[in-house]
Formats: sequence, structure tokens, C-alpha cells
Amino acid sequence: MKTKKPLAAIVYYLVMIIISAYCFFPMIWMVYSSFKTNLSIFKYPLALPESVSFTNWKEAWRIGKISVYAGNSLFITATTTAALLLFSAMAAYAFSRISFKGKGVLVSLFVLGLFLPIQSYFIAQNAIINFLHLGDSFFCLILPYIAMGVSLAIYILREYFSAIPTEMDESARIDGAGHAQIFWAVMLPMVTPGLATAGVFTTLSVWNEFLLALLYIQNPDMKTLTVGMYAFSGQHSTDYAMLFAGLSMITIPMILVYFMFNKVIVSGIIEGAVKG
Amino acid sequence: MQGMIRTRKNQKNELSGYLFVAPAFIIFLIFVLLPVLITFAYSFFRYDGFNPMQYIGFSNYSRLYLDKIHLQAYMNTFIYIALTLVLEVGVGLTLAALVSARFKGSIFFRTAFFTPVLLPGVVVGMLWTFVYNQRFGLLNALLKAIKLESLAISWLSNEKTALIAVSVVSGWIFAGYYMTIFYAAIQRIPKDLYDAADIDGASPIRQFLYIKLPLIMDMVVVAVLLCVTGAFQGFDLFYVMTNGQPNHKTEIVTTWLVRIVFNNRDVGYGSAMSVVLTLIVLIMAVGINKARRHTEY
Amino acid sequence: MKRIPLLISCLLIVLIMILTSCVQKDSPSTDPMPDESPKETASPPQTQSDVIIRLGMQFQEDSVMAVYQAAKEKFEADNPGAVIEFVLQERDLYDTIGLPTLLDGKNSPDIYFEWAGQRLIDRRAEGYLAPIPEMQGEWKEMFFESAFSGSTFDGVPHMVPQSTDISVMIWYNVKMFEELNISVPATWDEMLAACEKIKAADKIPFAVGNKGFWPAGNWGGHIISRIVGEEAYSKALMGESDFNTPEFAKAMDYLKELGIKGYINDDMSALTDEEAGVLFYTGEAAMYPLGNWVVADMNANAEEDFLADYFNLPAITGGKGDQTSVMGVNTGHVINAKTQHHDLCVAFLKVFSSTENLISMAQQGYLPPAKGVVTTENADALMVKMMDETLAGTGTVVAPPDTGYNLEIANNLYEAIAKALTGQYDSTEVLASLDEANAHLR
Repeated sequence: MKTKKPLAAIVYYLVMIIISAYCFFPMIWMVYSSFKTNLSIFKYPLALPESVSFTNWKEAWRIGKISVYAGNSLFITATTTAALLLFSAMAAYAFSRISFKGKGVLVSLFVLGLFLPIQSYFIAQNAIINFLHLGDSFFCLILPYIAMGVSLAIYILREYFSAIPTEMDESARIDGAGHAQIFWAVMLPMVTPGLATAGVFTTLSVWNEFLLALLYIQNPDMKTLTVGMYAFSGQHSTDYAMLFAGLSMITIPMILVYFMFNKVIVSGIIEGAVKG
Repeated sequence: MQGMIRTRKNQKNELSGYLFVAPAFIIFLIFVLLPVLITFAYSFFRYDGFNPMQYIGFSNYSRLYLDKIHLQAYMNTFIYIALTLVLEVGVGLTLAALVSARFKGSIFFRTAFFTPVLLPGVVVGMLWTFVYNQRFGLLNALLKAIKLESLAISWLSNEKTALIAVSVVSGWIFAGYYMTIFYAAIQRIPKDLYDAADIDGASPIRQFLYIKLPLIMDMVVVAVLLCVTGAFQGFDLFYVMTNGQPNHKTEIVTTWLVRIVFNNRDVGYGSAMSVVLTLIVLIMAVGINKARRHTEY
Repeated sequence: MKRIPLLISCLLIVLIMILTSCVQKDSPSTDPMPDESPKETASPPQTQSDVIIRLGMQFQEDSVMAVYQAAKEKFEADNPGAVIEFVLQERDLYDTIGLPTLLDGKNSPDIYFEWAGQRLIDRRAEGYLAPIPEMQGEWKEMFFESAFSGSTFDGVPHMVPQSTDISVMIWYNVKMFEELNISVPATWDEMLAACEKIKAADKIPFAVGNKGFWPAGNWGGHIISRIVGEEAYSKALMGESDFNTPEFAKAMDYLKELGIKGYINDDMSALTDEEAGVLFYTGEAAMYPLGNWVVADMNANAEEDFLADYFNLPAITGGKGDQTSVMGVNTGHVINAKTQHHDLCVAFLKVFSSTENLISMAQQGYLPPAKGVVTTENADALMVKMMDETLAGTGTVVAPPDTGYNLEIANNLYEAIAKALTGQYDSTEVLASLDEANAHLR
């Protein structure tokens, strides 16, 4: 088959290259437009820049406060993911290994959480955040993000815990270990693939989240990258070159990270989505 | 004696069970479960978020049927769903067929097609707003370059094209995502099934249609349902690119909901909208599970 | 049974954790990254006892921020231990969901920017508007009497005036008008004739960026008020009468005609007001219907040799309203009734409304309604024209729909106006669905 039809191969690769171009050309256009001036973007939208200067990038970095927003997003994402993985792993462990009254009810409540759309709770969630005086602190995003993510993470991790043979923890228990020790020292290391899946999924959802971040954070210095970029585009809606630079600055690192860890990321997203 | 120790041990066991679940559950309770209940309660009141609430029974619900924009938002959502089924699942399936054809380099193309999935919707929305810009947009520039100037319009403010334009962006993001789901399913098909087909001399297209596709049908069903529930919850792209413009032709349920609750401060009415949307999504989600259980083998 | 108290105590522990952590988180300085832009929150090294006065406002051009910054520095020098912090939001957000959420939030501003009229009535009802009884005597008398309309309740001023914004004026490209031999239109028909000439020259007559709905909304509102008369306009916007009347239908037909004839850029709904400004400044469009703040925008974004002037909306023959009317609104700063530092807020606003400071505002394109401020010595000739000709030349100032009246009705009207301007909808149908959308407010 591979040698039989060279024509088929040519057609095949041509089609694939066209589709790849469709995927990437908007981004390539964005990056090279970021080196142009507003005027040349307007007059010659397709033309390559005459020279590569990072003036627009520097401007976007400074005026768009991308470092501040990226820092905020990094902090929120890291805290959320760490706390969510720990709490979900604990709960998943309990659901798979400890029998206690009301377990069935709790499990089904978490399963319900898998299906509830964000629209079903964000109105009143906002009221609760105000009631608890969490507004304009990073907690007003971290706690809702954890709440929204635990269902899926517990679901994924519970499968991983349940796949571990019970002999493992039985033998630890005979050695006198309590649940805390068993969980931390014996079981947790064995579900690392599950943690990776849930971690990738959480990290990306939190990093890209927009609706809640838009509604809950008002302090301009506490905005996340998505909302900050959106606000930046609202303020400087006519400074196209700078906006292209800002968008490039957000996009390029993400694509690099994706190329480096592509296998883990793809399986995390797909597994997370198909389970959910 | 023996019995007492057992009970105490059991109690201790139960206690650790609760302690292990507590952190996750308490946060989940406060920030998801309670808000769902409170939203349901709000939906029976006239409430603006500040002033005292006023019980009005089912008035908010009956208003839903009179609110033309609300109905149009559902209509738009259905059109959007239909378009994304083609542009995301359909194209994804085609891409899966292409990358699973036995040519070299499939890993490169799979990686490439998946890239847009991980970018934030806001960033993609802003980028494509530029792509669609009437004056310096990439799309119109390309059209002009191939002498099709007459087709170069303002894509996002034209009532006929706006919704399609946003759906195309949605397809740009998610086609690679569904491709990956289908590709993974195709990889699980036992090899000997193709070998038989190869001997029979079946063309790759026939092989895909008659061997692979029927065997990944369960995943296609899952993908369709994922796409439908996902479309119901869409927000970022619409908010950034059009926010309902022009004339509500791209208004979807969530953009309208945000406007009702946060612009008009009509918390009670917005809550009724959200209850209805929740019910629809839940019913579909139950559908997902039923369908999946059905196709599992 | 034992697990219930256990659950409750767990809940309490977590709640306490949350609450204490958010108390510790009180200051935004827990930001993992230091703020790099010195403009917005930079302040002298703060001590623990510093009182922070937050001022909520829309994003402004750097040159306008410089005026705020100067006032901040003067205030901080006069009041050691007090620090002004600007809480900035993008314009379309602040107008709509931004300010209410800001006021509702934890770092609620002590002072905030507002528009007089219905918005202030709403803020007052929500408990966010403090009276300013200190505003009397010399401080009050430095302003024109009209500066307090729409912000005086129970005889007490509630806002320190900053500017009387003219929300709608028609900016035009002076050179293009000369080249095309167009003189400033005095009537609606002359304006349409001008549009026809501009269109024949392959230019866009009106640049409108209506992504935020208010730019065309204000302009259309003004046209409507001219045709149906101020009273009918205001009654309908207050929800006291229907929109679907022959008079309103006639007004909508005027808007529809602009759409049918293609006098507006066809990507109107996809552009922001600033993006439409680019069309105007680059000579693609001849006219730009927007407010007095265009002066500041133009100084920042247009080429040096770009020459613009403005005219008020021309007279519409047969219209029931005052054909010299100006659409405008008083803007200024108000004090949050929930602030702990009312006196410091007053002190800052006194600094901010000093004649010297108001002159600086006038140089940035604002129209402070204060005596001896907008004069030929210290302001742009265009600003003096607005003050002395446009504002002084009219007996009627019509409030824009979104600042003077019920916000939801205003938004619905804006949508109807946007629809009419496409030229594709029947005016009566547009008005009928507008009434339908307002029906639940009755």
C-alpha cells in the first residue's frame, strides 16, 4: 500500500498540509502581524513585516500588564490544581476503601456534580461569595474552581484507586498503618497516572476559564490572563499591533508546552472529557 | 469484649471516612450544591440582588415563554448545535479517517490538528475577530488576493453570516478534539479485521465506512452528546466575538442570561432561565449515560 | 447520629479557615507578582495605618489619568496617612455590570464616577449614594446652577460635578467637507444631501461603532427626542407610555432611512466606538456622531494635521421637540454611603474640583460646568464653542436614555435603534417588540 500508489500519497499529503495550514495560518498571521505597525496592518493585511522589532511586544507586556495577569493565573491555577487533587484523592480513597454510612448519597451527589452546568449555580454562587466576603480575593475563584472540578477528579481517581488490589493496603494495615498513612504512603503514589489526567484537565480548564473570572474579579491587578487580555482589548481596541503582540505572547508559550508534553496533555483532556 | 472493639474500630473507620471526604464535600456543598438550590429558590421571586425579595410564584417562568429573545436564544443555540455537529463531530470524523489512513507522519498531523483545543476561548475569539475584520481581516485579505472582493463582507455584523462565522471558529477549535477521540477508538480495533479487508482489496474509504465506522459508533454517539451539551454551555466565543450582535442573531442562552442577571439585575428572572437550562442539560446528560451504557460491549 | 455534629464542626472549621484567610488576603499586595505599571496603584511606601480611599472609575487616556494623579498627590500631601487608590475598569463594563459588581464587592470604592439622573436614583435606592451637605457656600457657588440637576435629592447635592458631557454631536472632517464642497448642514435634509455627496465620493458618511449599543443608542435617542418631542421621549423611557405610536414610528423611519441608503459603515455592530473613530481619523468616514470626549481621543489617536469640527444634530422639519436641543448629562464623582471615611472623600473631591484642576480637565476635553474654567485662555477653541455656543444656545438638555431613565428600557430601546439602523426591519414591528420586551416592567 505504501509503495503502490504514489499519486494517492501526493493527494493525501496535499490535503493534510492544507488542513494544517487552516489550523495554523491564523496563528502565524497573528504572530507576524504583531511585528507590523497599525498602518501596515490596515493597508497590507497579508504582507510580512518589513523588519522584526519587539516594540509592540514590549508595549503589550507593559501596558497590557501581561506579567501581572500571567502571575495571577499561575497562582490561581497552581493553588486550585494542588488543592483539588489532594481533596479529590482523599475523597476518592474514602469512597473506594472505607465503608461509612451515607457514602452512597455522597457519591451520587458528586456524580450529579458531573452533569450540572455552570449556569445552574453561578448566579447564587456570586451571592454566596459576597456573603462570605470573598470578593476580590483569589479565593473567590479558587474555591468555586475546586468545587466545580472535584466531581470529575473524584470520578477519575476512584477508578484508579479501585483498580489497586486490596492486598496492598491490607498488608499495610496489618503492619499497623492508619488510613492517613496508607493513603499518603501506599496508595497515592500508585494513582499517579490518574493524578496526571485529572491535573492536566484541571490546569487547562482553570487557566482558560473566563465567565467566573469576568464576573467575580473587579480589581484590575487581580485579573486572570483571559479576563486581563479581554480588558486590554477593550481599552486599546484600536491598537491592533499591540493586541496581536499580546495574543501571541499568550499563545506561543502554551503551544510550546503542548508540543513538549503533548502525550500527557492530549490523554488528560480526552480522558477527562469522555469520562465527564 | 470482642464486639465492643469492633464497633469502636468501625466508628473510627467511619470517622476517617468523613474526614477524608469532608474538604472536597464542604467546598462542593458551599459553592455548587447550595447555589443550585438557592438559584431554584430565587426563581420564584422578584429580586434585583439588593432590595427585599418579593414572592411572585411562577411569574418568572411564564415570562420565559413571552420573552422573544429568550426563545430566539434557544433557536440560535439549536442552529449552533446543528452547525457544530457538522463542523466539529463531522469534520472530526473525517480528520480521524485521514489520520488513521496508513500513511506516514500521522503523529505530526494529529499533534497539529489538536493544537487549537488547548487555547483559551477568549484568545481564540479575539484572534478570529481579527480574522473576520472587514478591513484588515485575514479572511477578506485572502478573498481579495484571489480576486473575490465581492465576497469580502463584515462577517460578524452581517445577520446572515454572524452565527455561522462563530460556529466555524468553534469547529476550528474542536474538530481536532473529536478527531483525537475517534482516532483513539480506531486504534482499539483489532488489526486482523483490516488484514482481511486488505486481502479483499477494499479501498481505504470503504474500509473506513464499512469496518472502522461501525466499530467506533459508540464513540460517535458519545461525541454527539458531548458536542450538544457543550454547545448548550458555550459562552466565551460568543461573548468575545459578538455578544449577541447583530440584533440577537448570535444571542445564545448564556449570553442572554448574563445580560439579564448582571446588566438588568433581574436575578429572579435569570434564575428561572438557569433552572430551565439546567433541566435541559441534565436530561441530555442522562441521555449520554444511557446511550453509552447501551453501546458498551 | 454522631456524624451530624461532626459534619457541622468540620463545616465550621472550614468556614473559619476561609474567613480568616480572606481577612489576611485583604490587601491586594498578596499578589504574587508586583505591579509593574506605576500609574495605577503606585503609592508611597504604605504603613499599616494608612487609610486607603478607593476611587472607582472608567479607564481614561494617560493624559487624563495625569490630572487624577496630580490631584491624588496634592491630597496625599495635605492628608498624611491617607492614600488614594484608583480602581479602573474598561468603559463598557463600568457602564453596565462593572460598577454594580464593584460596589457589591469587598473592595467597594469610597468615591466613584457616575452620571446624574436615573443611575443616581438607583444607587441611592441601593444604599450606595451619600449626600454631600458639605457642598455649599463657596464650593457650591463655583459651579453653574445647572451642574446639580439630576444629582440633587431632598435639596442636598449628592455629586461633585466634573463635566457636563454632550453625549451626541456630529464630528466632521473639515478638509473632506471642503474638498467635497459641503457646508455644515442646518437641517436634516441638508445632512442627507451631504451624505449623498460623501457616498458618491466613495467615503462612508457616518462612522459608528455600536458594539456597546450606546453609541448609536445615544445618537438615535437624540433623533427620536427631536421628532416625538421631549415629553413623549421621556414618558416612554420611564415606562409610562408605549413606544409603538405613529410618532415613534416616524422617528424610526428616519433612522431606517440612514440604513437603507447605506450612510453608515456596514460593520457598525462589530466595531467599538474607538474603532469607528479610526475610520473617522484616517479619512475613510466623513462624520462621527459621538460626544465631547472625542476631543481627548482625537488628540491621542489622530494625526497632527487632522482637522475636525462639529455641529449639533441639525433641525428636523416637523419634529415636535426643541430643534436646538442638546443631548447631554452631568457627570461627576459621588461618595459611597458605605464608606468609613466620608470626610477624607470630601477632602479629596475638594482638591479634585479646584478651579486649577478643573482647568486641567477642560484641557483634556471635559466640560466642567464651573465659572471661569472653559475660557479661551485655558481651553481648546472647540471646548469653548461647546460651552458658549452649544450649551448656552439651547434651552433644552435631553438626557441620554441610559443615564436619565430606566436602564433596562434604555437597553431595549438601544436594540430597537440598532435594528432600525440596519434598514431591514419594519419600524412598527420593531416598536411592537420593544413594547413587548418592556412589558414585564409594568
